[in-house]
Amino acid sequence: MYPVFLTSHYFRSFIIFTLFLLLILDSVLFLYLVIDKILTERREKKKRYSREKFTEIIASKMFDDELLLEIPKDRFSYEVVGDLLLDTLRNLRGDFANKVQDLLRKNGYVEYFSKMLKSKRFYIRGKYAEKFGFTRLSEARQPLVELLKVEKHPYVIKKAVFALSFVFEIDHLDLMYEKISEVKDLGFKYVEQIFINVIRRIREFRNSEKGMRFLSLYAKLLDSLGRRALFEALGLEKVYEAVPIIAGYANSNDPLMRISVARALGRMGGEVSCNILKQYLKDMEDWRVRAVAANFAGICDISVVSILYSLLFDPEPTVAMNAAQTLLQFGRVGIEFLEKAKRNGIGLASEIAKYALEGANLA
Amino acid sequence: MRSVLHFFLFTFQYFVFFYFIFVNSFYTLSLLMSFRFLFIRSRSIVDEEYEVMLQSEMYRPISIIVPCYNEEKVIVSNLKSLLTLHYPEFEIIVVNDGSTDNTMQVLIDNFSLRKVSRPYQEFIHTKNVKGVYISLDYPDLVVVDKENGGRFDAVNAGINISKYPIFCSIDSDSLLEEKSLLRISEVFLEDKEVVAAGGIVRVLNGCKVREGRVIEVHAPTKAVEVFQTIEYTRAFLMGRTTLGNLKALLLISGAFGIFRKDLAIKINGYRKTVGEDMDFTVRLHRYCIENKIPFKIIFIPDPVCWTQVPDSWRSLIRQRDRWRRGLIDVLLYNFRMSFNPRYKTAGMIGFPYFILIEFLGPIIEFIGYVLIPVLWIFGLLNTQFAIIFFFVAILWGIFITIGSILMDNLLFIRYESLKDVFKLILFAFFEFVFYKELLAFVAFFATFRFRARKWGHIPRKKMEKTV
Repeated sequence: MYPVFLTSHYFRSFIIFTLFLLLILDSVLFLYLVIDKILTERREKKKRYSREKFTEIIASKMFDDELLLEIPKDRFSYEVVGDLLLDTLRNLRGDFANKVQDLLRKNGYVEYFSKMLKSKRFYIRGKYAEKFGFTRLSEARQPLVELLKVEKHPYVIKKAVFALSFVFEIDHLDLMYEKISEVKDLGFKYVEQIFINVIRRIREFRNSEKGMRFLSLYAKLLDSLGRRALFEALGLEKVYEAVPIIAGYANSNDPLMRISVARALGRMGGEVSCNILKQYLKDMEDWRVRAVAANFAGICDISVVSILYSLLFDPEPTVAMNAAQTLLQFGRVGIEFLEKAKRNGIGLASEIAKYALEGANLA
Repeated sequence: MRSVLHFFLFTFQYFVFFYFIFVNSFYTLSLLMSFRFLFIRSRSIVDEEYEVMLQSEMYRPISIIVPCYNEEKVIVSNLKSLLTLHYPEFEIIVVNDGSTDNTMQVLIDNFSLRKVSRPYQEFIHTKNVKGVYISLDYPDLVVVDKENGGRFDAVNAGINISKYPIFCSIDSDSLLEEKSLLRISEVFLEDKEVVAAGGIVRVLNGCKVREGRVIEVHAPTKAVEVFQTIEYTRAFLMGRTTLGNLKALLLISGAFGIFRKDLAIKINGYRKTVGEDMDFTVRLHRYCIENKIPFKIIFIPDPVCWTQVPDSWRSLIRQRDRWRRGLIDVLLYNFRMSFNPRYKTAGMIGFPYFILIEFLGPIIEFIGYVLIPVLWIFGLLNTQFAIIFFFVAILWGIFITIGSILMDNLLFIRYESLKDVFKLILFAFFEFVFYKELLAFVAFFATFRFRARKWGHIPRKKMEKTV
């Protein structure tokens, strides 16, 4: 009458067993949830209290020679104060920053972070590698280098290279390059930020020119993404020594490379950069190259104005819009060209010129 | 005839039993998998990292697209909240999709809008754009006024006018947490293969909101809202996390998702369907696989978007009816992906999940409820077993729900008081004796009207009054 399994004695026993098992599991989970919630509430209160209390203490230590913070012994409070110190350090420079770094040293955070780098769990190693880097302490260098030498997990390598980029010495660049090459799928902006950190760090060295030249040599070693990220970073940080190396890639077949070259050189200026931008304004292969070049053409002399005017009629609106915005940078001459386009232009060119003039309150 | 009916009823009991085991095992496995992932994620987040992003060049500018239709009550507070987001460079594009109320006037008055002749390229064809406005008070705000074409059309218009390489689409009745954008965009920085990412959508009803910010998180007061809170917690923390990890995430919620603009243009933007957000994600999978583009579509559990859920049964039924129709339309439109190894995990796990569990589930459930009296009449119902089975189903369901709430509490500490957690657990019990049955009925009947394209309007409340 019924499906066989329903009448089976074994099955019935099994299903009743399952019922009780679930009842127990549900009760255990429920109890666990309640206990955890109570503990969480307490922990959060304690966290808020510790943060408030130590914010005041840290502020008072800025003018004090006594550096011990008398942090409660439990790990939770220790973590909270550590995070607070890192948070404070982020917004400080100069003597105050040194003072916070001293507080980190004196209160055992160097040893603590070093110990955490040896954790068996990869996410712990990654997290503390990053925190160690944020301390910008020279003591972070060696533990991070040692970690990188043996580390296999891409997540940790990524975080450790990022951390080391704040505190490395010139000899570590090879190691950083080697390890970062092991991580696949790294995002462009992430690599760019590592290079920005590297450049800023090199500037802290006595012989920074040599360092920059050394860094530029990496352009040959890197893959396309890494090279573009390096160029963007060099441009953002205005490393003028790198202009010849970047210019060497101006005729790359890869439009993305040409875009990065345009952006980097456009940020630095100079005759070489301007000539390359002018060449890019006529790039017929990829409109994005023209658009970026038009955006940065303001670094050039007034002879570029007529080229920018012709770009107002470009079939790609982004190119035309960038050209219009840049024309405004040339003052009266640029405005005359925009007004001419507004009067004589047809369709989009006229609209774009009108929009640019409106934006500058010149319509 | 009688013997055929007997055979059907007999077989159906087998089928229901094994289907029940399959579905609940899948959910239990999902719970365990997502717990592991969320544990690692929550332990590896360093808040400092986001501060570094804020102060450096390490970000990618984002266009936030907010489609709105008759949202005069919520649009101002939502926009004010968005304009205070912690992000170095972004633009907000509000697309007024031909609202028939005062939405446009409210926007003009509150944000000092001025009509401009901003040129743009129509990458994706949309209904006529009547005007583009910029704000004199907020330089990052752009408002597009267009003829009504539906949510999909509004987002497409936003994509056309956006100037940044990635865009985030959010609903106008939603609020983003301050650092949500930083957290979700982080994956685009760190991994070049990410083409789309979704954050967690949580229920705003019941929370205390001030000046467009959620300042206290509470469980809602109305039963209909509490049930949805439980559902959202389970669906996002367990379902999406698991599917995301298996590279089979076929749905990034329209309430909060971030996408690469170039690919959105390549697939011709959003398609006209009531399930446009799922359809968009599925077509992204398809396009990338068919064109051999390395890609990742991921779910990140900690960037939060707060959204208002229907606060009446009527609105809820209307919403679920629409979701159901959307699901069926998307599954049919992209059917060639199902069980197709060419589409990798999306075809072999994502699609089977949506077909076997999301689509078939409510039908089997409905037939089950209807057949109980029939089985009883024919003497085919083993009453004792039926009762035990019913309790096993409830307890197993509660196990999964408490597991999700526990995960939420252990890892993200959202609810501030124990009272709220108790309320959720209490409702988790009633969910299995009323709510799920109701939704099964709604979904069953919606299945037969899947060709209907009607959206149905859900009334909004002012954000500050959600508590």
